[in-house]
Amino acid sequence: MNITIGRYIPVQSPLHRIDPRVKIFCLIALMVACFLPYNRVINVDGVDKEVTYWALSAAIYGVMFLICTILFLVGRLSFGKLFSSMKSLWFTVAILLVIYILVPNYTVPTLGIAFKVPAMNNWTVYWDSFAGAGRIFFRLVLTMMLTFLLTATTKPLELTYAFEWYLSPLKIVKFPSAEVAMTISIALTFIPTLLDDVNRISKAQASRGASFQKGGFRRKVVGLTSLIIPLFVSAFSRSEDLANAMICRSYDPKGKRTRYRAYRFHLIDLFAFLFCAALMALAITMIAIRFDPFLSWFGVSLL
Amino acid sequence: MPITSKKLSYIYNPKTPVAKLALDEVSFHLEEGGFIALVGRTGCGKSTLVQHLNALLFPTGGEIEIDDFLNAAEKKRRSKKLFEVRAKVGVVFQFSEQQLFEETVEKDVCFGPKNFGLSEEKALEKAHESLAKVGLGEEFYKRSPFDLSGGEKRRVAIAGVLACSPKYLVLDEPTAGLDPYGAKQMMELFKSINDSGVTIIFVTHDMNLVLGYASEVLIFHDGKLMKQGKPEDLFQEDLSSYSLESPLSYSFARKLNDKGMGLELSKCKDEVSLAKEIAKRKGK
Repeated sequence: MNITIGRYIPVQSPLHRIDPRVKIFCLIALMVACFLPYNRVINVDGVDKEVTYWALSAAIYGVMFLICTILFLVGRLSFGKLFSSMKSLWFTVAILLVIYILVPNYTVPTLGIAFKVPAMNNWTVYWDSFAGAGRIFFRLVLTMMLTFLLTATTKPLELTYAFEWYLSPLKIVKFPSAEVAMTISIALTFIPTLLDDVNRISKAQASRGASFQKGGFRRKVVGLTSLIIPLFVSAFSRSEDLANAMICRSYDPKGKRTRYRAYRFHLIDLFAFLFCAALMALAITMIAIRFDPFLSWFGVSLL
Repeated sequence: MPITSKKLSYIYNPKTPVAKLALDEVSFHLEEGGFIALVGRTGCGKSTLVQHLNALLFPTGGEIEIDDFLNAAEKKRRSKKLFEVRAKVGVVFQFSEQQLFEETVEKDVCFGPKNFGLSEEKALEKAHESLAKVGLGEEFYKRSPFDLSGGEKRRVAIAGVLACSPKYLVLDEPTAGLDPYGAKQMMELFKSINDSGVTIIFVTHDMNLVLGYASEVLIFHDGKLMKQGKPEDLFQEDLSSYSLESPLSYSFARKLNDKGMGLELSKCKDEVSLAKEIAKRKGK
């Protein structure tokens, strides 16, 4: 099992130095740019209908992918681990494709007919189904890349600080933001530990002939049970130990926590903030003014 | 057929900033029927080696052959029958008590043999047999493994591996966290298993156990195999450069020799033989 998502990778890079608060903002801004619906209006039988602007979507995803790739290089992160954890995505894409093909006209088709199935009463499959599945695939990939960038370059402790900072306005309405931040930080800190547990227990069970991937359904279920139950048991005993350790060191959820490290705003933070904010603003503006680069620049309305 | 390793290397997280060389061209040969100890400080690659023995890890360089099963770095040369080697090499991991998951002790011990293709009745028979071997009687069969004490849990885990009738039994720090009496009992158990013809390979930090039980020792340091030999011979050398302590009876005998006692080190295997040696000198 090879899961690295969520693990902090200790190297020196400009990305590691950016203020965690700025990084969270950047993550949200870039995600918004990825997830906005890039539509255009076409006239179908005299009625204006909003349809996905595939060419623009593809261009945006391409640009975002490029940005993420550059960030990966800047952050000195390796792609190998990311891609190996994306292997399971193929299954998701396949299922999505089946759903899109089976659901008729989930959108007004603009990409033309891919093929027809004579056996199923001439069921028509449009290229839009493929594009729809592809869009979700790209969104997932970009989300994974962005979250990987955040967690790989930010220590859990820094993340907690950022969460707490963002939640602090809620203190006015008695929202326990410090406790929530602590909970989130503990959850994040323990992801690698739990993964190690998964690794160790699955090895122990594999030595006893358990099978997680091969064999019949019953066998796989039994194999998985042999993994999940010990995992729960160890997670509970760990949480109990941790709670005791925290109490022993006088952890008071209501107490005010001080910080060892002071965060000061640097030029690189400002740059990152402005860059991501500008990207998000650009994406929103493009939608607001129904920007059509292919029509206005090349004089043709593609797709 | 024995175990042979040729230039076995393993790197964790290769080609990343956190890459770590855990095994560095380790070559050795182990005969069948031995009681073999793997020693060395924490992080020297013992546990990594253990995982190569039943193909849980594949080497990044070199190869290791267990009977006719070849675990090699090159995918093409690797033997395909993972299942057979896992049945043949039983591995009891560190903190093995964490691997229990069934409702009853009996069922949990049956898990392995059933996976390796035994029928329900046969598996149950095997389970009872191996539970008896680890000293857990009938009253434990129907109990939940989660209600047992730490030592009992570990016994159940060991029984779970024994029930697969392995030819090689590999134990990663089997006595860690047990009280001295429990540890001694555990080692006696392994000795009796060894006497019944099973090759035992165990990882430990306790040199007294090594001297008391092992027929052969492999000393690891920073992923390299430094020494291989009989414990009586190896402990005569200074092992402090590998962060290993001499066994108690040896260091005591050595202190006596410094005062001019003239004991024969290789005969002082434990308290009893040490006392005998001293008495022999005194009697003269």
